[in-house]
Amino acid sequence: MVTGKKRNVPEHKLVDTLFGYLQLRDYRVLREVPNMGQSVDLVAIKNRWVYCIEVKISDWRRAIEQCRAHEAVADLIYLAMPESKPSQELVNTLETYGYGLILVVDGKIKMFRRAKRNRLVWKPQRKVFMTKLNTVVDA
Amino acid sequence: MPDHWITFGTFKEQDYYRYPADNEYKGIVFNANMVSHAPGGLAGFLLGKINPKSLYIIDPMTHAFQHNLGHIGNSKGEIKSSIDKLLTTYGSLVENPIRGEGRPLNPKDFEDNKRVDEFVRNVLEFQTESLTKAQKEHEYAKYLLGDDINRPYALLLPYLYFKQSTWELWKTPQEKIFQSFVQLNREGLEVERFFAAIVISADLLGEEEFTEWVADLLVQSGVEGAVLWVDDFDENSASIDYLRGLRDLVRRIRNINDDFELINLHGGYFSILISSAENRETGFTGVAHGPEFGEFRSVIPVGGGIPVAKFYLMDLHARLKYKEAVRIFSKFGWLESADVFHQSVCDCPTCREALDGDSANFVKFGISESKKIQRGGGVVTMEYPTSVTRVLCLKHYLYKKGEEFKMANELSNDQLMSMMEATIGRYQESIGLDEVGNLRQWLKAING
Repeated sequence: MVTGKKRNVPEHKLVDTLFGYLQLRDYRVLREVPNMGQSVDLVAIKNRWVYCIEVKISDWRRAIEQCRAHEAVADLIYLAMPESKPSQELVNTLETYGYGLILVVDGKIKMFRRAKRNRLVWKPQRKVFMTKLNTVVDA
Repeated sequence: MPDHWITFGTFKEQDYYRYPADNEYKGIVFNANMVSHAPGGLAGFLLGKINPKSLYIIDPMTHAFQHNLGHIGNSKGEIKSSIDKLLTTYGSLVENPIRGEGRPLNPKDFEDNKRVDEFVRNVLEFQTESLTKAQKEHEYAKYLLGDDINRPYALLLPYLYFKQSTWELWKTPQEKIFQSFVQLNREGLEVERFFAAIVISADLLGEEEFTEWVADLLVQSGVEGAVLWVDDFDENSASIDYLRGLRDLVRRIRNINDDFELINLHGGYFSILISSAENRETGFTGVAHGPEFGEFRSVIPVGGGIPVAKFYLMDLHARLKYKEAVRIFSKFGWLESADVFHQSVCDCPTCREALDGDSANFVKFGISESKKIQRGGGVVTMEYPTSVTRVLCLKHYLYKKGEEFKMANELSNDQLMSMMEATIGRYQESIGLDEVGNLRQWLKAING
Protein backbone atom coordinates (compact mmCIF):
# COMPACT_ATOMS: atom_id res chain seq x y z
CA MET A 1 0.00 0.00 0.00
CA VAL A 2 1.32 3.40 -0.92
CA THR A 3 1.04 5.81 1.98
CA GLY A 4 2.06 9.11 0.50
CA LYS A 5 -0.13 11.86 -0.82
CA LYS A 6 -1.83 10.74 -4.02
CA ARG A 7 -2.50 13.09 -6.90
CA ASN A 8 -5.36 12.57 -9.30
CA VAL A 9 -3.28 12.96 -12.43
CA PRO A 10 -3.95 11.06 -15.63
CA GLU A 11 -1.12 8.74 -16.53
CA HIS A 12 -0.45 10.39 -19.87
CA LYS A 13 0.20 13.69 -18.08
CA LEU A 14 2.91 12.06 -16.04
CA VAL A 15 4.37 10.59 -19.19
CA ASP A 16 4.33 14.03 -20.83
CA THR A 17 6.05 15.63 -17.84
CA LEU A 18 8.76 13.02 -17.77
CA PHE A 19 9.15 13.13 -21.51
CA GLY A 20 9.80 16.86 -21.47
CA TYR A 21 12.15 16.59 -18.50
CA LEU A 22 14.29 13.94 -20.17
CA GLN A 23 14.36 15.67 -23.52
CA LEU A 24 15.64 18.84 -21.88
CA ARG A 25 18.49 16.79 -20.47
CA ASP A 26 19.47 15.58 -23.96
CA TYR A 27 18.04 12.09 -23.76
CA ARG A 28 16.52 10.65 -26.90
CA VAL A 29 13.04 9.77 -25.64
CA LEU A 30 10.34 7.57 -27.14
CA ARG A 31 6.90 6.54 -25.98
CA GLU A 32 5.14 3.18 -26.19
CA VAL A 33 8.03 1.13 -27.47
CA PRO A 34 7.08 -2.54 -28.05
CA ASN A 35 8.96 -5.08 -25.98
CA MET A 36 8.08 -8.78 -25.99
CA GLY A 37 4.35 -8.44 -26.23
CA GLN A 38 3.93 -5.28 -24.16
CA SER A 39 4.88 -1.63 -24.49
CA VAL A 40 7.32 0.37 -22.47
CA ASP A 41 5.77 3.69 -21.42
CA LEU A 42 9.01 5.60 -21.97
CA VAL A 43 12.41 4.65 -23.30
CA ALA A 44 15.25 7.09 -22.80
CA ILE A 45 18.64 6.71 -24.44
CA LYS A 46 21.82 8.56 -23.69
CA ASN A 47 25.18 7.52 -25.08
CA ARG A 48 25.04 3.72 -24.94
CA TRP A 49 22.65 3.49 -21.99
CA VAL A 50 19.07 2.42 -22.43
CA TYR A 51 16.55 3.32 -19.73
CA CYS A 52 13.05 1.80 -19.55
CA ILE A 53 10.51 3.69 -17.48
CA GLU A 54 7.09 2.38 -16.46
CA VAL A 55 4.67 5.09 -15.38
CA LYS A 56 1.88 4.17 -12.97
CA ILE A 57 -0.72 6.18 -11.07
CA SER A 58 -1.25 3.29 -8.69
CA ASP A 59 -0.93 -0.52 -8.73
CA TRP A 60 2.84 -0.49 -8.49
CA ARG A 61 2.85 -4.27 -8.28
CA ARG A 62 1.59 -4.46 -11.85
CA ALA A 63 4.31 -2.00 -12.85
CA ILE A 64 6.97 -4.21 -11.24
CA GLU A 65 5.72 -7.14 -13.31
CA GLN A 66 5.97 -5.02 -16.44
CA CYS A 67 9.47 -3.92 -15.47
CA ARG A 68 10.61 -7.53 -15.21
CA ALA A 69 10.14 -7.99 -18.92
CA HIS A 70 12.48 -5.07 -19.54
CA GLU A 71 15.35 -6.84 -17.76
CA ALA A 72 16.17 -8.56 -21.04
CA VAL A 73 16.74 -5.26 -22.86
CA ALA A 74 17.35 -2.28 -20.55
CA ASP A 75 20.47 -1.17 -18.70
CA LEU A 76 18.46 0.71 -16.12
CA ILE A 77 14.82 0.30 -15.19
CA TYR A 78 12.65 2.86 -13.46
CA LEU A 79 9.18 3.13 -12.08
CA ALA A 80 7.60 6.60 -12.08
CA MET A 81 4.65 7.49 -9.83
CA PRO A 82 2.78 10.60 -8.64
CA GLU A 83 3.64 9.97 -5.00
CA SER A 84 5.27 12.24 -2.47
CA LYS A 85 6.05 9.41 -0.07
CA PRO A 86 6.26 5.83 -1.37
CA SER A 87 5.56 2.96 0.99
CA GLN A 88 8.31 0.90 2.57
CA GLU A 89 6.93 -2.18 0.83
CA LEU A 90 7.42 -0.54 -2.56
CA VAL A 91 10.91 0.62 -1.65
CA ASN A 92 11.86 -2.86 -0.46
CA THR A 93 10.57 -4.41 -3.67
CA LEU A 94 12.54 -1.95 -5.77
CA GLU A 95 15.64 -2.79 -3.73
CA THR A 96 15.09 -6.50 -4.44
CA TYR A 97 15.00 -5.99 -8.19
CA GLY A 98 17.40 -3.07 -8.44
CA TYR A 99 14.85 -0.75 -10.06
CA GLY A 100 14.82 2.97 -9.57
CA LEU A 101 11.95 5.24 -8.54
CA ILE A 102 11.07 8.65 -9.91
CA LEU A 103 8.42 10.70 -8.15
CA VAL A 104 6.39 13.17 -10.19
CA VAL A 105 4.40 15.59 -8.04
CA ASP A 106 2.84 18.87 -9.19
CA GLY A 107 4.93 18.83 -12.35
CA LYS A 108 8.18 18.42 -10.41
CA ILE A 109 10.49 15.45 -10.83
CA LYS A 110 12.37 13.90 -7.95
CA MET A 111 14.83 11.03 -8.26
CA PHE A 112 13.87 9.07 -5.15
CA ARG A 113 16.03 6.04 -5.80
CA ARG A 114 18.60 5.40 -8.51
CA ALA A 115 18.38 2.15 -10.45
CA LYS A 116 21.21 -0.35 -10.26
CA ARG A 117 22.78 -1.45 -13.50
CA ASN A 118 20.81 -4.40 -14.83
CA ARG A 119 23.11 -7.33 -15.58
CA LEU A 120 20.42 -9.56 -17.08
CA VAL A 121 20.36 -8.01 -20.55
CA TRP A 122 20.24 -10.66 -23.21
CA LYS A 123 22.02 -9.21 -26.21
CA PRO A 124 19.95 -10.86 -28.97
CA GLN A 125 16.74 -9.50 -27.41
CA ARG A 126 18.35 -6.10 -26.95
CA LYS A 127 19.14 -6.11 -30.67
CA VAL A 128 15.49 -6.87 -31.51
CA PHE A 129 14.39 -4.13 -29.12
CA MET A 130 16.70 -1.54 -30.66
CA THR A 131 15.38 -2.42 -34.10
CA LYS A 132 11.80 -1.95 -32.89
CA LEU A 133 12.78 1.26 -31.19
CA ASN A 134 14.03 2.70 -34.43
CA THR A 135 10.64 2.11 -36.03
CA VAL A 136 8.86 4.17 -33.37
CA VAL A 137 8.42 7.75 -34.50
CA ASP A 138 9.99 10.24 -32.10
CA ALA A 139 7.23 12.47 -30.78
CA MET B 1 -3.82 -44.95 -22.34
CA PRO B 2 -4.44 -42.14 -22.68
CA ASP B 3 -5.11 -41.65 -26.37
CA HIS B 4 -4.05 -38.31 -27.80
CA TRP B 5 -6.96 -36.35 -29.26
CA ILE B 6 -6.89 -32.85 -30.66
CA THR B 7 -9.61 -30.25 -31.09
CA PHE B 8 -9.86 -28.44 -34.40
CA GLY B 9 -9.01 -24.77 -34.12
CA THR B 10 -8.98 -22.90 -37.41
CA PHE B 11 -7.98 -23.69 -40.98
CA LYS B 12 -4.74 -21.79 -40.38
CA GLU B 13 -3.37 -24.78 -38.49
CA GLN B 14 -4.73 -27.46 -40.79
CA ASP B 15 -1.29 -28.52 -41.98
CA TYR B 16 -0.27 -29.51 -38.45
CA TYR B 17 -2.74 -32.23 -37.59
CA ARG B 18 -0.20 -34.77 -38.83
CA TYR B 19 2.57 -33.25 -36.72
CA PRO B 20 4.80 -34.44 -35.13
CA ALA B 21 3.82 -37.81 -36.56
CA ASP B 22 1.25 -39.00 -39.04
CA ASN B 23 -0.46 -41.19 -36.47
CA GLU B 24 0.02 -38.96 -33.42
CA TYR B 25 -3.67 -38.19 -32.89
CA LYS B 26 -6.26 -40.86 -32.44
CA GLY B 27 -8.95 -38.39 -33.37
CA ILE B 28 -10.09 -34.84 -33.86
CA VAL B 29 -12.97 -32.98 -32.27
CA PHE B 30 -14.90 -30.49 -34.38
CA ASN B 31 -17.31 -27.92 -33.04
CA ALA B 32 -20.77 -27.94 -34.59
CA ASN B 33 -20.62 -24.26 -35.47
CA MET B 34 -17.51 -24.87 -37.58
CA VAL B 35 -19.18 -27.88 -39.21
CA SER B 36 -22.23 -25.77 -39.91
CA HIS B 37 -20.18 -22.85 -41.19
CA ALA B 38 -17.63 -24.66 -43.36
CA PRO B 39 -18.61 -28.25 -44.11
CA GLY B 40 -16.85 -28.22 -47.48
CA GLY B 41 -13.63 -26.98 -45.97
CA LEU B 42 -13.77 -29.61 -43.25
CA ALA B 43 -14.56 -32.29 -45.80
CA GLY B 44 -11.43 -31.29 -47.71
CA PHE B 45 -9.52 -31.40 -44.46
CA LEU B 46 -10.77 -34.90 -43.67
CA LEU B 47 -10.09 -36.16 -47.17
CA GLY B 48 -6.82 -34.46 -47.88
CA LYS B 49 -5.06 -33.11 -44.83
CA ILE B 50 -5.11 -35.74 -42.14
CA ASN B 51 -4.31 -39.38 -41.73
CA PRO B 52 -7.30 -41.14 -43.32
CA LYS B 53 -7.50 -43.43 -40.29
CA SER B 54 -8.04 -40.49 -37.95
CA LEU B 55 -11.30 -40.63 -36.09
CA TYR B 56 -13.49 -37.62 -35.44
CA ILE B 57 -16.29 -36.49 -33.20
CA ILE B 58 -18.58 -33.49 -33.62
CA ASP B 59 -19.48 -31.55 -30.50
CA PRO B 60 -23.09 -30.49 -31.18
CA MET B 61 -22.69 -27.49 -28.83
CA THR B 62 -26.25 -27.73 -27.56
CA HIS B 63 -25.22 -25.88 -24.40
CA ALA B 64 -25.02 -22.73 -26.53
CA PHE B 65 -28.78 -22.24 -26.33
CA GLN B 66 -28.89 -22.12 -22.53
CA HIS B 67 -26.94 -18.91 -22.16
CA ASN B 68 -27.72 -15.23 -22.47
CA LEU B 69 -28.24 -14.71 -26.21
CA GLY B 70 -25.49 -12.09 -26.20
CA HIS B 71 -23.00 -14.95 -26.07
CA ILE B 72 -24.15 -16.31 -29.41
CA GLY B 73 -24.61 -12.94 -31.07
CA ASN B 74 -22.42 -10.96 -33.41
CA SER B 75 -21.42 -7.30 -33.13
CA LYS B 76 -24.77 -6.26 -34.65
CA GLY B 77 -26.72 -8.11 -32.00
CA GLU B 78 -27.89 -10.83 -34.40
CA ILE B 79 -27.40 -14.55 -33.78
CA LYS B 80 -24.11 -15.61 -35.40
CA SER B 81 -24.86 -17.21 -38.74
CA SER B 82 -23.21 -20.54 -37.90
CA ILE B 83 -25.29 -20.83 -34.71
CA ASP B 84 -28.39 -19.69 -36.59
CA LYS B 85 -27.96 -22.59 -38.99
CA LEU B 86 -27.81 -24.96 -36.03
CA LEU B 87 -31.10 -23.57 -34.75
CA THR B 88 -32.77 -24.50 -38.01
CA THR B 89 -31.12 -27.91 -38.04
CA TYR B 90 -31.91 -28.81 -34.44
CA GLY B 91 -35.55 -27.83 -34.68
CA SER B 92 -38.37 -26.26 -32.76
CA LEU B 93 -37.20 -27.09 -29.25
CA VAL B 94 -34.39 -24.53 -29.65
CA GLU B 95 -35.76 -22.50 -32.53
CA ASN B 96 -38.96 -21.42 -30.85
CA PRO B 97 -37.54 -19.86 -27.70
CA ILE B 98 -34.47 -18.36 -29.34
CA ARG B 99 -35.74 -17.13 -32.67
CA GLY B 100 -39.38 -16.95 -31.79
CA GLU B 101 -39.23 -15.45 -28.33
CA GLY B 102 -35.72 -14.00 -28.21
CA ARG B 103 -34.74 -15.84 -25.03
CA PRO B 104 -32.44 -18.72 -24.07
CA LEU B 105 -33.72 -22.21 -23.31
CA ASN B 106 -35.28 -22.91 -19.98
CA PRO B 107 -36.30 -26.28 -18.49
CA LYS B 108 -39.95 -25.81 -19.47
CA ASP B 109 -38.97 -26.03 -23.14
CA PHE B 110 -38.40 -29.75 -22.57
CA GLU B 111 -41.96 -30.50 -21.43
CA ASP B 112 -43.13 -31.51 -24.89
CA ASN B 113 -41.81 -35.02 -25.43
CA LYS B 114 -42.29 -34.91 -29.17
CA ARG B 115 -40.13 -31.82 -29.37
CA VAL B 116 -37.47 -33.52 -27.28
CA ASP B 117 -37.54 -36.57 -29.57
CA GLU B 118 -37.24 -34.36 -32.65
CA PHE B 119 -34.35 -32.46 -31.02
CA VAL B 120 -32.43 -35.62 -30.12
CA ARG B 121 -32.93 -37.10 -33.58
CA ASN B 122 -31.93 -33.87 -35.35
CA VAL B 123 -28.79 -33.40 -33.26
CA LEU B 124 -27.67 -36.97 -33.94
CA GLU B 125 -28.53 -36.80 -37.63
CA PHE B 126 -26.61 -33.55 -38.00
CA GLN B 127 -23.50 -35.27 -36.72
CA THR B 128 -23.87 -38.33 -38.88
CA GLU B 129 -24.86 -36.51 -42.07
CA SER B 130 -23.18 -33.13 -42.28
CA LEU B 131 -19.59 -34.09 -42.92
CA THR B 132 -20.53 -37.37 -44.57
CA LYS B 133 -22.55 -35.50 -47.19
CA ALA B 134 -19.86 -32.84 -47.54
CA GLN B 135 -17.20 -35.49 -48.20
CA LYS B 136 -19.35 -37.20 -50.83
CA GLU B 137 -19.78 -33.87 -52.61
CA HIS B 138 -16.13 -32.86 -52.38
CA GLU B 139 -13.87 -32.96 -55.43
CA TYR B 140 -11.54 -35.36 -53.59
CA ALA B 141 -14.35 -37.91 -53.32
CA LYS B 142 -13.49 -39.26 -56.74
CA TYR B 143 -10.28 -40.64 -55.23
CA LEU B 144 -12.09 -42.65 -52.59
CA LEU B 145 -12.44 -46.38 -52.84
CA GLY B 146 -15.99 -47.58 -52.51
CA ASP B 147 -17.73 -46.02 -49.55
CA ASP B 148 -14.54 -44.91 -47.85
CA ILE B 149 -16.15 -41.87 -46.31
CA ASN B 150 -14.89 -40.94 -42.87
CA ARG B 151 -17.83 -41.11 -40.50
CA PRO B 152 -17.91 -39.88 -36.90
CA TYR B 153 -16.33 -42.21 -34.36
CA ALA B 154 -19.23 -41.60 -32.01
CA LEU B 155 -22.33 -39.43 -31.91
CA LEU B 156 -22.80 -37.14 -28.95
CA LEU B 157 -26.20 -36.86 -27.36
CA PRO B 158 -27.54 -33.35 -26.89
CA TYR B 159 -26.27 -31.99 -23.63
CA LEU B 160 -26.80 -29.18 -21.19
CA TYR B 161 -24.33 -27.20 -19.11
CA PHE B 162 -24.48 -27.81 -15.38
CA LYS B 163 -23.27 -25.62 -12.59
CA GLN B 164 -23.82 -25.84 -8.86
CA SER B 165 -26.45 -23.12 -8.69
CA THR B 166 -28.75 -24.51 -11.39
CA TRP B 167 -27.98 -28.16 -12.01
CA GLU B 168 -31.02 -29.44 -10.23
CA LEU B 169 -33.23 -27.35 -12.52
CA TRP B 170 -31.67 -28.90 -15.62
CA LYS B 171 -31.77 -32.48 -14.33
CA THR B 172 -35.16 -33.35 -15.76
CA PRO B 173 -34.47 -31.94 -19.24
CA GLN B 174 -31.21 -33.92 -19.44
CA GLU B 175 -32.98 -37.06 -18.20
CA LYS B 176 -35.61 -36.57 -20.89
CA ILE B 177 -32.90 -36.34 -23.53
CA PHE B 178 -31.47 -39.65 -22.36
CA GLN B 179 -34.91 -41.28 -22.21
CA SER B 180 -35.62 -40.14 -25.73
CA PHE B 181 -32.30 -41.58 -26.87
CA VAL B 182 -33.01 -44.94 -25.27
CA GLN B 183 -36.30 -45.18 -27.21
CA LEU B 184 -34.90 -43.74 -30.42
CA ASN B 185 -35.12 -45.68 -33.64
CA ARG B 186 -31.49 -45.54 -34.68
CA GLU B 187 -32.04 -46.72 -38.21
CA GLY B 188 -30.33 -44.45 -40.67
CA LEU B 189 -27.84 -43.01 -38.22
CA GLU B 190 -25.01 -45.12 -39.73
CA VAL B 191 -22.94 -44.83 -36.58
CA GLU B 192 -23.30 -47.28 -33.74
CA ARG B 193 -21.36 -45.68 -30.98
CA PHE B 194 -22.99 -43.05 -28.80
CA PHE B 195 -21.43 -40.85 -26.19
CA ALA B 196 -22.84 -38.52 -23.61
CA ALA B 197 -21.30 -35.10 -23.04
CA ILE B 198 -20.74 -33.95 -19.47
CA VAL B 199 -20.20 -30.21 -19.46
CA ILE B 200 -19.96 -28.71 -15.98
CA SER B 201 -18.58 -25.89 -13.93
CA ALA B 202 -15.72 -26.74 -11.60
CA ASP B 203 -17.86 -26.17 -8.54
CA LEU B 204 -19.58 -29.49 -9.25
CA LEU B 205 -16.32 -31.42 -8.92
CA GLY B 206 -16.54 -33.33 -5.67
CA GLU B 207 -20.31 -33.01 -5.45
CA GLU B 208 -21.24 -36.59 -4.70
CA GLU B 209 -24.94 -36.26 -5.44
CA PHE B 210 -24.20 -34.86 -8.87
CA THR B 211 -21.54 -37.46 -9.60
CA GLU B 212 -23.85 -40.35 -8.71
CA TRP B 213 -26.66 -38.87 -10.78
CA VAL B 214 -24.38 -38.62 -13.81
CA ALA B 215 -23.07 -42.16 -13.35
CA ASP B 216 -26.61 -43.58 -13.05
CA LEU B 217 -27.73 -41.72 -16.14
CA LEU B 218 -24.81 -43.05 -18.15
CA VAL B 219 -25.47 -46.62 -17.04
CA GLN B 220 -29.20 -46.47 -17.73
CA SER B 221 -28.76 -44.91 -21.16
CA GLY B 222 -26.39 -47.60 -22.41
CA VAL B 223 -24.03 -45.10 -24.04
CA GLU B 224 -20.59 -46.47 -24.81
CA GLY B 225 -18.69 -43.48 -23.52
CA ALA B 226 -18.65 -39.80 -22.71
CA VAL B 227 -16.72 -36.63 -23.26
CA LEU B 228 -16.03 -34.31 -20.34
CA TRP B 229 -15.55 -30.55 -20.37
CA VAL B 230 -15.02 -28.68 -17.11
CA ASP B 231 -15.64 -25.01 -17.75
CA ASP B 232 -12.45 -22.90 -17.87
CA PHE B 233 -10.55 -25.49 -15.85
CA ASP B 234 -6.89 -24.55 -15.95
CA GLU B 235 -5.10 -27.51 -14.40
CA ASN B 236 -2.02 -25.33 -13.87
CA SER B 237 -3.81 -23.13 -11.38
CA ALA B 238 -6.68 -25.27 -10.07
CA SER B 239 -6.99 -25.95 -6.36
CA ILE B 240 -6.07 -29.32 -4.91
CA ASP B 241 -9.74 -29.95 -4.05
CA TYR B 242 -10.83 -29.36 -7.64
CA LEU B 243 -7.98 -31.48 -9.02
CA ARG B 244 -8.98 -34.31 -6.69
CA GLY B 245 -12.61 -33.75 -7.61
CA LEU B 246 -11.72 -34.20 -11.28
CA ARG B 247 -9.73 -37.33 -10.55
CA ASP B 248 -12.60 -38.80 -8.50
CA LEU B 249 -15.24 -37.94 -11.11
CA VAL B 250 -13.17 -39.66 -13.77
CA ARG B 251 -12.68 -42.74 -11.57
CA ARG B 252 -16.38 -42.96 -10.86
CA ILE B 253 -17.34 -42.76 -14.51
CA ARG B 254 -14.69 -45.25 -15.63
CA ASN B 255 -16.03 -47.58 -12.96
CA ILE B 256 -19.17 -48.02 -15.05
CA ASN B 257 -17.50 -50.78 -17.00
CA ASP B 258 -14.05 -51.66 -18.35
CA ASP B 259 -14.89 -50.59 -21.88
CA PHE B 260 -16.45 -47.26 -21.02
CA GLU B 261 -14.58 -44.51 -22.85
CA LEU B 262 -14.06 -41.09 -21.37
CA ILE B 263 -12.34 -38.27 -23.23
CA ASN B 264 -11.41 -34.95 -21.67
CA LEU B 265 -12.16 -32.40 -24.39
CA HIS B 266 -9.90 -29.74 -22.88
CA GLY B 267 -7.18 -31.28 -20.75
CA GLY B 268 -3.59 -30.64 -19.79
CA TYR B 269 -0.77 -32.62 -18.24
CA PHE B 270 -2.68 -33.38 -15.03
CA SER B 271 -5.33 -35.19 -17.06
CA ILE B 272 -2.59 -37.10 -18.84
CA LEU B 273 -0.92 -37.99 -15.51
CA ILE B 274 -4.07 -39.42 -13.91
CA SER B 275 -4.59 -41.45 -17.07
CA SER B 276 -1.10 -42.93 -17.33
CA ALA B 277 -0.45 -46.59 -18.13
CA GLU B 278 -0.65 -47.59 -14.48
CA ASN B 279 -3.92 -45.69 -14.12
CA ARG B 280 -5.48 -47.04 -17.30
CA GLU B 281 -8.53 -48.40 -15.50
CA THR B 282 -9.33 -45.24 -13.59
CA GLY B 283 -8.21 -42.39 -15.82
CA PHE B 284 -9.36 -40.82 -19.05
CA THR B 285 -9.17 -43.05 -22.10
CA GLY B 286 -8.36 -39.96 -24.14
CA VAL B 287 -7.30 -36.38 -23.57
CA ALA B 288 -7.81 -33.62 -26.13
CA HIS B 289 -6.39 -30.14 -26.46
CA GLY B 290 -6.26 -27.55 -29.18
CA PRO B 291 -3.35 -26.61 -31.41
CA GLU B 292 -1.33 -24.57 -28.91
CA PHE B 293 -4.35 -23.67 -26.80
CA GLY B 294 -7.45 -25.41 -25.51
CA GLU B 295 -6.04 -27.21 -22.49
CA PHE B 296 -8.83 -25.31 -20.81
CA ARG B 297 -11.74 -23.55 -22.39
CA SER B 298 -14.65 -21.42 -21.23
CA VAL B 299 -18.16 -22.53 -21.99
CA ILE B 300 -18.96 -18.91 -22.78
CA PRO B 301 -18.37 -17.06 -25.01
CA VAL B 302 -19.49 -19.70 -27.48
CA GLY B 303 -16.69 -20.30 -29.95
CA GLY B 304 -14.03 -17.85 -31.05
CA GLY B 305 -10.97 -16.56 -29.25
CA ILE B 306 -7.56 -15.62 -30.58
CA PRO B 307 -4.77 -17.87 -29.36
CA VAL B 308 -1.55 -16.18 -28.31
CA ALA B 309 1.74 -17.78 -29.25
CA LYS B 310 3.64 -18.96 -26.18
CA PHE B 311 6.59 -21.24 -25.54
CA TYR B 312 5.73 -24.59 -23.98
CA LEU B 313 8.20 -25.49 -21.28
CA MET B 314 8.13 -29.24 -20.86
CA ASP B 315 9.62 -29.19 -17.37
CA LEU B 316 6.76 -27.10 -16.03
CA HIS B 317 4.14 -28.50 -18.44
CA ALA B 318 3.01 -24.96 -19.00
CA ARG B 319 2.87 -22.44 -21.82
CA LEU B 320 4.98 -19.43 -21.00
CA LYS B 321 4.80 -15.97 -22.43
CA TYR B 322 7.91 -15.39 -24.45
CA LYS B 323 9.17 -12.74 -22.01
CA GLU B 324 8.83 -15.21 -19.13
CA ALA B 325 10.70 -17.86 -21.07
CA VAL B 326 13.54 -15.43 -21.76
CA ARG B 327 13.64 -14.41 -18.11
CA ILE B 328 13.78 -17.98 -16.82
CA PHE B 329 16.26 -19.24 -19.41
CA SER B 330 18.53 -16.23 -18.88
CA LYS B 331 18.44 -16.80 -15.14
CA PHE B 332 19.64 -20.36 -15.58
CA GLY B 333 22.18 -19.50 -18.29
CA TRP B 334 20.37 -21.66 -20.84
CA LEU B 335 20.69 -19.06 -23.55
CA GLU B 336 24.48 -19.06 -23.48
CA SER B 337 24.78 -21.51 -26.33
CA ALA B 338 22.66 -23.71 -28.55
CA ASP B 339 24.13 -26.84 -26.97
CA VAL B 340 23.20 -25.68 -23.48
CA PHE B 341 19.70 -24.80 -24.69
CA HIS B 342 19.16 -28.18 -26.29
CA GLN B 343 20.45 -30.01 -23.22
CA SER B 344 18.49 -27.99 -20.70
CA VAL B 345 15.36 -26.74 -22.43
CA CYS B 346 14.47 -28.57 -25.60
CA ASP B 347 16.02 -30.75 -28.24
CA CYS B 348 12.99 -31.10 -30.50
CA PRO B 349 13.37 -30.76 -34.29
CA THR B 350 11.64 -27.37 -34.25
CA CYS B 351 13.99 -25.91 -31.67
CA ARG B 352 17.02 -27.40 -33.43
CA GLU B 353 15.95 -25.93 -36.74
CA ALA B 354 15.03 -22.56 -35.27
CA LEU B 355 18.24 -22.12 -33.30
CA ASP B 356 20.41 -23.52 -36.07
CA GLY B 357 23.43 -23.74 -33.78
CA ASP B 358 23.02 -20.24 -32.31
CA SER B 359 21.04 -19.63 -29.11
CA ALA B 360 20.49 -16.01 -30.17
CA ASN B 361 17.94 -17.38 -32.60
CA PHE B 362 15.62 -18.15 -29.71
CA VAL B 363 14.33 -14.63 -30.45
CA LYS B 364 12.41 -16.24 -33.31
CA PHE B 365 9.90 -17.56 -30.76
CA GLY B 366 9.04 -14.01 -29.77
CA ILE B 367 8.94 -11.91 -32.92
CA SER B 368 5.84 -9.74 -33.07
CA GLU B 369 4.42 -7.08 -35.33
CA SER B 370 2.51 -3.98 -34.36
CA LYS B 371 -1.08 -3.47 -35.41
CA LYS B 372 -3.31 -0.54 -34.65
CA ILE B 373 -6.75 -1.50 -33.40
CA GLN B 374 -9.82 0.34 -32.22
CA ARG B 375 -10.36 0.09 -28.49
CA GLY B 376 -12.48 2.10 -26.11
CA GLY B 377 -13.08 5.00 -28.43
CA GLY B 378 -9.43 5.33 -29.40
CA VAL B 379 -6.74 3.63 -31.41
CA VAL B 380 -4.12 1.58 -29.62
CA THR B 381 -1.12 -0.30 -30.91
CA MET B 382 -1.07 -3.99 -30.07
CA GLU B 383 1.67 -6.52 -30.61
CA TYR B 384 0.77 -9.79 -32.31
CA PRO B 385 3.11 -12.70 -33.00
CA THR B 386 4.12 -13.07 -36.62
CA SER B 387 2.92 -16.11 -38.53
CA VAL B 388 6.47 -17.53 -38.47
CA THR B 389 6.57 -17.21 -34.68
CA ARG B 390 3.12 -18.78 -34.35
CA VAL B 391 4.13 -21.78 -36.41
CA LEU B 392 7.35 -22.28 -34.45
CA CYS B 393 5.51 -22.14 -31.13
CA LEU B 394 2.80 -24.45 -32.46
CA LYS B 395 5.16 -27.09 -33.81
CA HIS B 396 7.27 -27.05 -30.66
CA TYR B 397 4.10 -27.35 -28.54
CA LEU B 398 2.71 -30.28 -30.52
CA TYR B 399 6.01 -32.09 -30.33
CA LYS B 400 6.18 -31.67 -26.56
CA LYS B 401 2.58 -32.77 -26.08
CA GLY B 402 3.36 -35.89 -28.08
CA GLU B 403 6.25 -36.55 -25.70
CA GLU B 404 3.97 -36.12 -22.68
CA PHE B 405 1.53 -38.73 -23.95
CA LYS B 406 4.42 -41.06 -24.73
CA MET B 407 5.82 -40.63 -21.22
CA ALA B 408 2.42 -41.32 -19.66
CA ASN B 409 2.07 -44.47 -21.71
CA GLU B 410 5.57 -45.79 -21.07
CA LEU B 411 6.72 -44.67 -17.64
CA SER B 412 5.58 -45.81 -14.22
CA ASN B 413 3.73 -43.49 -11.86
CA ASP B 414 6.80 -43.37 -9.63
CA GLN B 415 8.93 -42.24 -12.53
CA LEU B 416 6.45 -39.55 -13.55
CA MET B 417 6.19 -38.23 -10.00
CA SER B 418 9.98 -38.27 -9.56
CA MET B 419 10.41 -36.18 -12.66
CA MET B 420 8.11 -33.51 -11.27
CA GLU B 421 9.84 -33.58 -7.89
CA ALA B 422 13.20 -33.14 -9.58
CA THR B 423 11.87 -30.16 -11.53
CA ILE B 424 10.59 -28.55 -8.36
CA GLY B 425 13.99 -28.98 -6.77
CA ARG B 426 15.79 -27.56 -9.78
CA TYR B 427 13.57 -24.54 -10.34
CA GLN B 428 12.18 -23.28 -7.08
CA GLU B 429 15.38 -21.88 -5.59
CA SER B 430 16.20 -19.87 -8.66
CA ILE B 431 12.86 -18.69 -9.93
CA GLY B 432 10.59 -19.02 -6.92
CA LEU B 433 7.99 -21.33 -5.49
CA ASP B 434 5.13 -19.85 -7.50
CA GLU B 435 6.61 -20.96 -10.81
CA VAL B 436 6.43 -24.62 -9.81
CA GLY B 437 3.19 -24.31 -7.87
CA ASN B 438 1.27 -26.34 -10.43
CA LEU B 439 3.61 -29.31 -10.02
CA ARG B 440 3.24 -29.18 -6.22
CA GLN B 441 -0.53 -29.10 -6.52
CA TRP B 442 -0.57 -32.06 -8.88
CA LEU B 443 1.67 -34.14 -6.65
CA LYS B 444 -0.55 -33.41 -3.66
CA ALA B 445 -3.73 -34.09 -5.58
CA ILE B 446 -2.44 -37.42 -6.85
CA ASN B 447 -0.62 -38.63 -3.74
CA GLY B 448 -3.02 -37.29 -1.16
